[in-house]
Amino acid sequence: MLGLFKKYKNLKIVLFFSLLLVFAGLFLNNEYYFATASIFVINSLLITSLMMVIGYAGQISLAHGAIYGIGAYTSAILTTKLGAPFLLALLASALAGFLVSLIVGAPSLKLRGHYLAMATLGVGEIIVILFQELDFLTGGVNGFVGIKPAEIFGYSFVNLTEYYALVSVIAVSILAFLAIFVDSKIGRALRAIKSSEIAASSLGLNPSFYKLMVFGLSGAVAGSCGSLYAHLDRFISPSTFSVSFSVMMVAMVIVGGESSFAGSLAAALIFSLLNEYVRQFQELSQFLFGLGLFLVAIYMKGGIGNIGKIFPAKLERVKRSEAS
Amino acid sequence: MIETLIQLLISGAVLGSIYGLIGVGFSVVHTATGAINFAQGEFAVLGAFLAISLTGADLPHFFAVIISPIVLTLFVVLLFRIFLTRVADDALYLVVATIALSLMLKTLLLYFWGREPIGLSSPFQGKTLNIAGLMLGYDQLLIIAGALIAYIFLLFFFSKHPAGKAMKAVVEEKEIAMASGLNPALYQGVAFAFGSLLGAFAGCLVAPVSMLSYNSGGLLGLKGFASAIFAGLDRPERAVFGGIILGVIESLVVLFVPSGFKDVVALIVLLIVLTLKPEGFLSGGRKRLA
Repeated sequence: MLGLFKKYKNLKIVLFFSLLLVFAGLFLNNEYYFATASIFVINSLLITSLMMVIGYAGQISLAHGAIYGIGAYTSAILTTKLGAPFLLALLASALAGFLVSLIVGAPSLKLRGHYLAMATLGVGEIIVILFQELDFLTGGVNGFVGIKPAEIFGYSFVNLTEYYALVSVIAVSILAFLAIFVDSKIGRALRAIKSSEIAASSLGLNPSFYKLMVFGLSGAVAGSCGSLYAHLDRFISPSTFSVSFSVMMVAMVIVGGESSFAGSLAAALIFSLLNEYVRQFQELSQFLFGLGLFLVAIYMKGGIGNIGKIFPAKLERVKRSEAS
Repeated sequence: MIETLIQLLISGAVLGSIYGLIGVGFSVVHTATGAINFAQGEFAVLGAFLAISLTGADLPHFFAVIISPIVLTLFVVLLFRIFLTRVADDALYLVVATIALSLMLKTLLLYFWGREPIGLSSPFQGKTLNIAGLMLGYDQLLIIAGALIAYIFLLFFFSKHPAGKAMKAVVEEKEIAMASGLNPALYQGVAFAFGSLLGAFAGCLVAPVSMLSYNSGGLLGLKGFASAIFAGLDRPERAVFGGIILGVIESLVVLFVPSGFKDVVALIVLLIVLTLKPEGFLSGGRKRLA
């Protein structure tokens, strides 16, 4: 058991995260807070999934919010319009997110850097316009109203406390899977590709395959997040999944640290707390995250998740220069 | 029928000129820094909103339209001097910084100018030129004229003027440019300032024709970028034509698809260019991919 934690070091962070969720569940005493806490859990998972694309595949996606939306609408339409069971809709959302994310990731085989950012931004914007315009399916700009509550084997999760528990269990299992994934053989291959595509392909690794795999996996997770979100508020509208939300998520990943689980979770926590604190003017937290992103980009490449790594590196250098 | 068609072509060219002007800003910044300014669309909206507030303070229209881009440019120069020079050489972090900037600007726009779309009331409101039955507003004429002036100026600047040549040199052959006494940071700053000047100016020109809201910047920026990439990022002045082509396509497509899907057109064009010919369709230069 301990060996498992040693091999997959991010599991410790996931364990800590799940303990945090349990404690939060014990101390919160109000339905409203459980809704906020559920959003925090969903955001954590969402940001971690985007972090995989940015940190482990070295790609950028400004369509992550749109894929989240694809999951949300898939789940809403399947359960409410077609009467599908929740778990099936959750799987379908993951599948839809997976497929759309492959489309979003396809340009990454040819483009990089800001060209890729723009291409994904374009796809994201198209998806949001589709949410607005296909109103017979999505309810258009007014949103999708009256989504059925999540129901598993006849038990309906109307109570937000219970839904919080459900969201937490699903999110923690997916996070644990991701934590194992990044330190598996595949994760190591990804790191090799990120540091040098040419060297990695000379070892027989196929960069295109691995890049698309991360896009697909990340999309499947974002799709499931969308499904969880749709059954929380039971109302979704296109503006939630707009490009500014995608940009916000990239900001959170970079502020948290490109390839840091702890950083992503911390960024999600800061974001949720900020949003809670400035509820009259939600955009203030966007501003603060913009500011954070700006400062990180200019002064602290690596993000808050890597502060620990910056200082030891400096210490090491000091020691070495003293020794010589 | 034929008249409607021509009217559509004209309104497409007008809108396209705006995209072109914004797109030129993208190409100029890319020429000197190798990066893309994601806040370009927000600069356009900020320029327009500043002008609206200035006319609201009883300043004459022309004064407002000139002052607002200049004020914005000064702001960008300061911003570049204090912060962005630190990352000017690292295109990726420069891009991230401009993404952050766009996020902050959008919030500020919302905070100061509110959620509702607003327009600039120009003295030409409602005045139109009637050429053989075709209606062309003065405001629309101004837009086309602005785009053409920008085109001619840039054509001259990049092919003849030493500063224009230096701007291209600092990103293509940085070491050699530095060895011959050019200061890259200066030219990068000038490019950034110039790009935002054009963006703000485009915003001031479009505000009398169509209303803008705090989040219009995203789509305006994307369409501007689509024009720039269509023309080829290495040919700043041609972005004007990229924009006009895009605008015309966009307004003609309305004949075939519901108007709600109009915005999708520019985005699909963008994706097609990016996947088929990222160096642009109007680019004559050598192939250069980031």
